[in-house]
Amino acid sequence: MLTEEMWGESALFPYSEGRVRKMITLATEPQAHVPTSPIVVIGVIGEPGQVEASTGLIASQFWYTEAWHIEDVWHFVCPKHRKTKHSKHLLNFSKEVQKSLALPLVMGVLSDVRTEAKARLYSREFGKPVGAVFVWPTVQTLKQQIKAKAA
Amino acid sequence: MTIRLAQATDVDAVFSLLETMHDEVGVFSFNKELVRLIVERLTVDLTAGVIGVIEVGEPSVIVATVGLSIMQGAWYTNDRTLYELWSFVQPEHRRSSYAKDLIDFSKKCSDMVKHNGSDLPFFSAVVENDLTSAKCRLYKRQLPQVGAFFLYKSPEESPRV
Repeated sequence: MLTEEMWGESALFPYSEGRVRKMITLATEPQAHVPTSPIVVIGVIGEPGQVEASTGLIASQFWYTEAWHIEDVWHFVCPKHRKTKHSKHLLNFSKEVQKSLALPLVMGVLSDVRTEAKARLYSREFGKPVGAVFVWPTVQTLKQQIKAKAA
Repeated sequence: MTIRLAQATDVDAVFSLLETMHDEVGVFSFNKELVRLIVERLTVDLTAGVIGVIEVGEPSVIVATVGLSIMQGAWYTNDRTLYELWSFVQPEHRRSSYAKDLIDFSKKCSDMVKHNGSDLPFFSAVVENDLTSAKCRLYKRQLPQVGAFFLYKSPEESPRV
């Protein structure tokens, strides 16, 4: 599964298959929605069963407001398809979703792997970052904790 | 100067600081009822999170605050994190170490507090603009940076939502 591959590359927390499946179900099975479910949109590149890249977008709210925005929950290109324009196409897909829903789009780069390259790509598409994300303890410590839990 | 956990009697003072903060750096509209509800909850329910406050003077006045909420760490996990909802120092007290003291307070909370036996990593997303560039530089000195975020709106939309 693509999400597991992505998690293996850049995760900061343990993987919950239940949560991941729930997110995918919300996007792919309209009958799974209840009135309190957020809107989830998933964009994919590739043939059915052979997804090469994917992005997941969810309608969300910041803690201090009723206003809605869209944010990306994942943005991933399989390693063997990285020398393509898939990543740029996924970002353009996100812009199209933003236009359709007429909500601001908040995109995040959250990783210790090739973070600067990803941030440069996002900057080309979305302009300067509006903020930075910090963590304590270090990412290395968090990854060690994931390994320790899995062991 | 003392830094301590906020109590129910501090709700008005914290709320007032948050109104000032939103006037300075808010990106989305400010829902007063929602914000007050969250401040009230964090002062009485340690399973939801904590609020740290710095007070100065005699009689003491709260001049800085940090709000930490225990939240789901990411969409793909059941693990929790200590997420910084806000960190704010009153403008007239910015020539102090209070902002750094609030970061140290958050780190200590992350080091000490457990959720169901698991660690609670501290996460903070700092909005960066002309007013907050000093804050961003401080955070970069005090904490490892793990990412950045971007805001995209159609060209015809106003900068403030």
